[in-house]
Amino acid sequence: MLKKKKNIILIVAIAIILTTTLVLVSYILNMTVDIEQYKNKSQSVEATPFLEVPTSASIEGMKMVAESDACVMGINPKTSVVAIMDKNSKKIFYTNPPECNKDEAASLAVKELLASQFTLSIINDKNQTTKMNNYKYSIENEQFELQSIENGVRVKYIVGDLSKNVNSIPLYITPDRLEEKILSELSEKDAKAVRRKYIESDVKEGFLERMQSLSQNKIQIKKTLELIYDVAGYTEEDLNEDNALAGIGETSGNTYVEIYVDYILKNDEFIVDIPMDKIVINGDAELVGIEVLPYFDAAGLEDEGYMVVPSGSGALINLNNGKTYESDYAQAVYGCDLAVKQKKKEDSEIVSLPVYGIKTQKKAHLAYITSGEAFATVNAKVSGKTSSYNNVYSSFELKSSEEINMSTGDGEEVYMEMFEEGTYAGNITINYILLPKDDVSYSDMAKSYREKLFCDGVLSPLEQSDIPLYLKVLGSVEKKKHIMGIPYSGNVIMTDIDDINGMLNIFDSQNINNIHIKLDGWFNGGVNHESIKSISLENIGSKGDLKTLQSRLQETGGGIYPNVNIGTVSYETPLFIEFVEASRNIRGRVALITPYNRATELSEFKTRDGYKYVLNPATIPKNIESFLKKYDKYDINSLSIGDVGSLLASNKDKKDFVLRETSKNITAEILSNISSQIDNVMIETGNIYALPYADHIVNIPIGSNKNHLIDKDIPFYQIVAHGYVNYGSSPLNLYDAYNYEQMLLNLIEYGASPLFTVTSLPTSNLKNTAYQDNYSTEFDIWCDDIISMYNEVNSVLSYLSAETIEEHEYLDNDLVKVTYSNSQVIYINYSDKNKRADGLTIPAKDYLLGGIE
Amino acid sequence: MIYVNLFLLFFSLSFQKQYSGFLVSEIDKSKINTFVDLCGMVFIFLVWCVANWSITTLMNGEGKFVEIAMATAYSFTPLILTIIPFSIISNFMVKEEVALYYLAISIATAWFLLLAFMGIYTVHAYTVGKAAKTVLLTIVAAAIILFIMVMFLSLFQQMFVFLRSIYIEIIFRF
Repeated sequence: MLKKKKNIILIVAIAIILTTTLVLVSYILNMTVDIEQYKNKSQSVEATPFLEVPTSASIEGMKMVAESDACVMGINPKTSVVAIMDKNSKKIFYTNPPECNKDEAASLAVKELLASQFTLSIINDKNQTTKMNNYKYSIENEQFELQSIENGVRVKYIVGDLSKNVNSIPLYITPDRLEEKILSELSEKDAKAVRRKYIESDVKEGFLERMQSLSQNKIQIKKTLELIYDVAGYTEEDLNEDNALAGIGETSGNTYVEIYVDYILKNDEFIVDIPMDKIVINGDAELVGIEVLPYFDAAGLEDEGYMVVPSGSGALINLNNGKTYESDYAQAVYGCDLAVKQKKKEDSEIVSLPVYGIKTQKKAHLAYITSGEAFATVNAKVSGKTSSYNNVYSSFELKSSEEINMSTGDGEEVYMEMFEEGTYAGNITINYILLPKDDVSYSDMAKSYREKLFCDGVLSPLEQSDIPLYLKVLGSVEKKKHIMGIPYSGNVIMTDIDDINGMLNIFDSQNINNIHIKLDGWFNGGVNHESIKSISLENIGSKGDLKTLQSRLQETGGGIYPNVNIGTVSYETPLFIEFVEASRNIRGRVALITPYNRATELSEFKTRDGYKYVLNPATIPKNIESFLKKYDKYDINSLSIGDVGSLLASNKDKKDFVLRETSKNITAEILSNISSQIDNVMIETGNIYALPYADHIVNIPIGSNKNHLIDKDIPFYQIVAHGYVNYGSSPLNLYDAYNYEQMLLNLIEYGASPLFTVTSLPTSNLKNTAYQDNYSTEFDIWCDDIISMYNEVNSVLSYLSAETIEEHEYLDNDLVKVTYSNSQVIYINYSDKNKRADGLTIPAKDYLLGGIE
Repeated sequence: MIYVNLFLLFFSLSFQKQYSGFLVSEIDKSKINTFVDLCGMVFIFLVWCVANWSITTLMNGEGKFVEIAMATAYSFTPLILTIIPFSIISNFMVKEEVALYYLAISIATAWFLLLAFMGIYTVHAYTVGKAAKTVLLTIVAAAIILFIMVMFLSLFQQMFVFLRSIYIEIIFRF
């Protein structure tokens, strides 16, 4: 009887264990989505044998390949240089400077670069990186072929050294075939010389083996190659046959890459397209990077103008600015990858738009990357360093790498470079908008880009209203606390909903409407919240309070935007399943975001405060699905998304990797889901993939990252976005050098609404937390500044909220003129002297409205 | 009773750390971790007892290990009685009066040392001279124990680093 009972208990226990395991396993399997659907699919058009296309105009020395309404395109069959000519003005855009081989400043190696259309970075089996430009390794040896495609031309390159080397001498060969194929064709003396290179093989019975020592002797290799190939008439096919007989694979030993590049002409746009999955690599090597058209439309010494780079809101680098002592400009699109460990803090302003361009006195172009931009870095060089040309171009880091410390602990530092596993199989596509007019400005370039985005449905126009006042409110903030000297993670409520209502009372009394509050730290453990799969409200008020606050704000056109990070979660998340949910870096470790020390800009390792996991992008869609279901019950209908507008992470796990481009597509898909369910979405910084889904963008960059090569900052982003999306500045009260006048003029110049970070409790409560860089946030201190700043900016910008910026120009260094689409002109004088422009006097440190009254 | 006295000493020391006035405390109170302090104190106490026991066994001491621990723990009493009241008082002191605080703590410490010495002397039934000699030797023995521990730690660390680098190498190669 007892035994039976025991058995039953045992069976029940096993059943319980089995079911829990099953449930757990299915739960874990259900966390990720299939990322296949998000991958960039390779697209390529059919090609036909090359045929010249009859066009209405022709370019000297070129075979014509395409014609559009505005332009014709031709290709030089010897150098594979492509040229596009505007039919009206006869101005020509070349992929490579036409007189580059006469450049006196360039060395031979640089001349090769000037004449090449792309440069490949290859790693070989020994982990060494080599760069191969397609001039030296392809064009010079005529290793390319032209084909026709619709509206363009395809160039098929074989990039690599194809000359014969030691491996072209058969390693194993039977005595009969040696005699038959080689020795019998040679004179007796030569035959003996060749025969002496072979000995009986120990490894393969019945074969002769090439002497090991031969591979070290270059002269002997050359002689032998000449004898067997040129004199005896041995061929590559024979070599393959011998290799096959000996049972070894192809060992030609030459690493070469087959790649094709499509050039397409479409109206006033020139498109270059490289399908990555069509790249074939022969030999034990991998493609890790590619630079595309580095010298497209490069400007020479005699040209005047500037290059536009997308750093922050945009910046200009003057042509021939003489800063040859500075390092080149290079900045990754969408900021750095969170899954690659950064020792130092990255640039203050990231690249949100993948655009760049050059303007000279005669013509201009603006390039924008439409596919593969998540791997891109925008580069700019000025003349005088290596060549006489100024160029701006994009390079693509197809596999990122990390240096891994292999030190043994005895003081010797050994590093090994590791590359990520995943391979991008989509396309790299860059569109060049050609602007063949005299005196094109950066405003025109931005406008042409804006038109493209508008046509693609990325932008939709706003209606005229008061400008928004943005407040970023810190609610519940994590803070280490002590009970009897025992530390524990607690929270301090910096602001609760009653406090927010109190602030609103003050704004109401000042008749300020349209207040948009981004609420940080409202759920799941604070500002750096835990997993978003469930929602538990922090101690800032009840669900009902939140709803009441939302209706109160909405009455005056504003709203509350509870902030949620969808790409990161707190390191303290309970039940976090690292091996599924966390993203990994190249060395296989879990990727973490660590706060930076403001003084040193290095990672803090002392405490775990503010640490975040980077989420595996494949798990994010499910998280969001579950979050939205729960969030629906709050009936708030607006949401702020804190990270993905400015941060883009990949997963470098060896098996379950998610490429950055895939991650970008996942993010866009998530945002589109969110915006279809929630009416008002606020994002930060606003990378281009997030732009179509955003109603409000905060932390919009004002200015560039201040790279030393940059000469001026421009509101490129703002020219694109103004009138289409509401945007707010970075927190004004947290600027290192807060200056009321300066901030006011900046906001007016950039058409941005003010944003302040506020708390109800004094800021000293944030000391020794991960948020101590918010060093002055107390609402009572900032209240007056917020009100007067908003009123003044609103008085200027509210009439312009639905207008677009048509022209932004520097009249001199400190004087800016901004023209809007309703011909309203604003002059902004940053200097401390009065200035005159267009017959008006602009007071010092002030602005003046002109144009229409 | 050993545990009670040990706990009371620990309690009064952490009380002093956290609640003594800022004039006499140089510790960043946000960085206090009582668990670490507790471990540290127990460790020092154990090392002292073990060292003393190992020396006195060789030198014909009569005390058992428990007796050594007891004698030491009892000698904490003056510290326990002084620290808490004076930590409270230190919050109300002006700078000139701080000397009183240090005086009290010093007297308590001296008294504690004397009691500890007397304890050792009595427990082992030594002469005063021999007791002094054992105390000195105990300190030497404690130093040797610490040295061996540090050496082991460093050796284990090196072995760990070595194994880790092999692991990394294997992971990356395959």
